Amino acid sequence: MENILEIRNLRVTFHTDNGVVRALNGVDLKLRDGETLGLVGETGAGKTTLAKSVMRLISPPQGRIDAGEILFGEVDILKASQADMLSIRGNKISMIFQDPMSALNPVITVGEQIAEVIREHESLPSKEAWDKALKMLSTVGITADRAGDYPHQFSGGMKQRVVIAIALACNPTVLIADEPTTALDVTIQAQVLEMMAELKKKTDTATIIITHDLGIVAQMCESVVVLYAGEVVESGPVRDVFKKTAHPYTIGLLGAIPKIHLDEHRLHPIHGLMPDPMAPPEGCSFHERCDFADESCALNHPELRIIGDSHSVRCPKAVSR
Amino acid sequence: MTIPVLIGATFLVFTIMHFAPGDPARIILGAGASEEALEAMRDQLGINDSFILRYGRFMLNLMKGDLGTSYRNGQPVTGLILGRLGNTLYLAISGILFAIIVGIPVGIISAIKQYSTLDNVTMFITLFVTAMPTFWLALILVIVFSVNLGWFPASGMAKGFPGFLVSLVLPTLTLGCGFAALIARTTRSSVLDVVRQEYIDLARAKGLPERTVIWKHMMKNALIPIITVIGLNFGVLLGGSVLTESIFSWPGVGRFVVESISFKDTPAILGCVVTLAILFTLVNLIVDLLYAFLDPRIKSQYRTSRGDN
Repeated sequence: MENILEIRNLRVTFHTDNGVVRALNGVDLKLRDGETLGLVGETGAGKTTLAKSVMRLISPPQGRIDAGEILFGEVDILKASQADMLSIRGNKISMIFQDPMSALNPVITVGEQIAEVIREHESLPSKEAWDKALKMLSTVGITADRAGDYPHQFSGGMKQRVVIAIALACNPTVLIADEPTTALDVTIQAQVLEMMAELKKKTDTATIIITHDLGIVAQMCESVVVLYAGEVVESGPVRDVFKKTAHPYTIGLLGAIPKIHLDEHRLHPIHGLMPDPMAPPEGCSFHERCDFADESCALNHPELRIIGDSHSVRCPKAVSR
Repeated sequence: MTIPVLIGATFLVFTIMHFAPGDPARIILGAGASEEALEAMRDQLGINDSFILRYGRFMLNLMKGDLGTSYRNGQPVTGLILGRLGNTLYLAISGILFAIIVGIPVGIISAIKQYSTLDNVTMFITLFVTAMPTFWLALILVIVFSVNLGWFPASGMAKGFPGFLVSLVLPTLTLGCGFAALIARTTRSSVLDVVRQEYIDLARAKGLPERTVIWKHMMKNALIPIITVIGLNFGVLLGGSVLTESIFSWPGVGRFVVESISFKDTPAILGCVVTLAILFTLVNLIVDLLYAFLDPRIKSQYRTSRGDN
């Protein structure tokens, strides 16, 4: 299958009063046509920055994309004109935001918030755009008669459905879902995921699901990219990454999931915190928290290398274990 | 709200006028009047009655829509004020319009270009303008634009078109400049609040052009605090109109107050206070209605809840 989206060596920094935050340090990522890819990592790993870079929503002067390419088909998003960008955003690439409570404009009806994106990208008369918006609403399981209501009249799960309807309104080729269920409670999470899986089956949109929930990855994704401190530390097909886990960080992540069939009384967290993004450590960025680290890990920064069928890892010890 | 505000305002002014020195009878009849004539005049005006009785009588008449007769020329105060109210409104409205038309775009640009040189310069100018006393600004404007350049008349209200508009320019600038600066500063902070909201990112992620993002998605949210400031400061604007009208001899209610005070024309002063207070509460009512129009969350507070979160 062809790559629909390819990110090469993406470097993003944020310039604050306290110093330079290195959010992404040379990230590579490939998304194939029709694929669902899970982007995993803890808070601050750079997941949302990656998503916003693809939409070119990193806002200057604080945020800067220093290097890299984001190839969407033939177009490099980082070099595209503003006009091209406007026709890509919301139309060919769209994004589901993390927190549905704050992603919807409180003073505009939900119907209008959906119809607006349709009017912008498809040359439809406004009546037809509105009708299509109503159809989108019922696609995500909201009755069309609520189109005239405002966001505050909806529950959290319903709002996320509206956000999803906005993202899918123009049949995008790439969908980036930034923690689509993190802000929702568990039962609603299941509903929203189920709905997304169903829509995915129908439209076959290539999707990046950003999450820190490995359960979602196992359930929804074909391949997975693990991000740590602004770097890809492991990537590959879900089956390989879960069964032949290579990077100590991924091992830690999987080990941190409580297992219901074992009589465990304690959680197994990865000890320590992510390194300060203003002053990343020498060598491997994970060595301070790694159980397998030795002196060489503190000195040499490891490169990403392939250890199996499109399974790659950023750890020199990965094979010997 | 109107009723308590009116009672408070009139009572205050009534008390002040009651204890203020000066005898209206003497002012009316002139310095040479005899003691008997003065006494008769005081009786006729009802000044010899007790304070409570006079205030009660005033309020009773007020409820009937009668503001009494002016000490100065014996004409009904209601008519005198109504004849000038229009002029004050023209000036107030044109001042507000000027302030809005200048203040809001300046605030938006400042917010969007936050910390740029443009932003810093603009914010310095607005601070300067806010701190400027009205009378000083008025005099500067007169010196520059009517004495030196001769573009606009220094005082008075001309009739007809375009004379009326030309004579409106300097008073409008005097009244509106400080207000425009205030609106610009409020708009800036209000827009800065909204810019960082996630729904603005979402609006951009939809591929909407920047113009739509700003005017549709930002401004509808940012306008609420701006309108609050406009409403609250309308009173200040009316106060400013007293000064502005006096300086530019603008025949409005503001100048009428000043003239009436120098004559100790209690009925006229009270009438003006009542009129301005009603105007102020009306504006606040309009502001409240605008809230509901702008923010559906406020509107639904007034309705019976639909039973959602």
